[in-house]
Amino acid sequence: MNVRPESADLAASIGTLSVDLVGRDNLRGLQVFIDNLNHVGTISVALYDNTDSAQKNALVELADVERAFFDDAILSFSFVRDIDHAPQSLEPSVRHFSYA
Amino acid sequence: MITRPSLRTTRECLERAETARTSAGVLIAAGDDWFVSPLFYSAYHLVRAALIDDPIFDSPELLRARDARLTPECRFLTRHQGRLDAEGRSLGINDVVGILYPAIAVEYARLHMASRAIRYGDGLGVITAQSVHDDYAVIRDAWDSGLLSAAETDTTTNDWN
Repeated sequence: MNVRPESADLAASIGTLSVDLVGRDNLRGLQVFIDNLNHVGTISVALYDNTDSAQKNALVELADVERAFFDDAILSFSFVRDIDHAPQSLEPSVRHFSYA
Repeated sequence: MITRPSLRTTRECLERAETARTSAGVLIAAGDDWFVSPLFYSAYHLVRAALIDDPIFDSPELLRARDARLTPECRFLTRHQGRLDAEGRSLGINDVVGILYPAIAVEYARLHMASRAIRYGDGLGVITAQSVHDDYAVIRDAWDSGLLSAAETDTTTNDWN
């Protein structure tokens, strides 16, 4: 059985790589939630520019994040106006990373 | 637990895709943002039709050459996302689209995001209705043009290798 990283570390690693790849200059904010029980997570991305091409460029980078953590997490993405509008979780098993 | 039989033929999937597109048209005419959900599921059934129809699944060698994680069972996947369990990471349709059909991967991903935003959030938000139409058109055109066939595409464009 694979040994998986603890979710707090995983959320931070996924978040840090996402910020690096999408780019700080493009990001109003970014948030990662990972459930420690099943390693299912969401990356919520608030872009300064929400044009068609900017969103597509971000998705190309997020696909690279997904590939990098393919065996560690099941990820989905959402675009939000700012991370205050991102999905929240009060579940005790959920770990989170935030960049703003 | 109630389970429903999934569609197992290309024809069944195409019929379902068309039904979903018709439903989306009714909602579009009514000015209802919920058109996004049936439009995504029309794309989902087009992708399932492509997978069932794709000759790459007839060749274990081609499958392995494309990605070692692909199995013949992926031809009949129904769930959107993979899973992690004691046996490792399984694939979902979203993963397989990224691996086999990179030309529509971004559009399919955003269309799925839009569908989730409509169903679970407070609306499309920063994803525009126009991008939903455009993303669906890319997927529809790819199917209509016969481009959703991994057995005939160039593997060098696939970042998953």
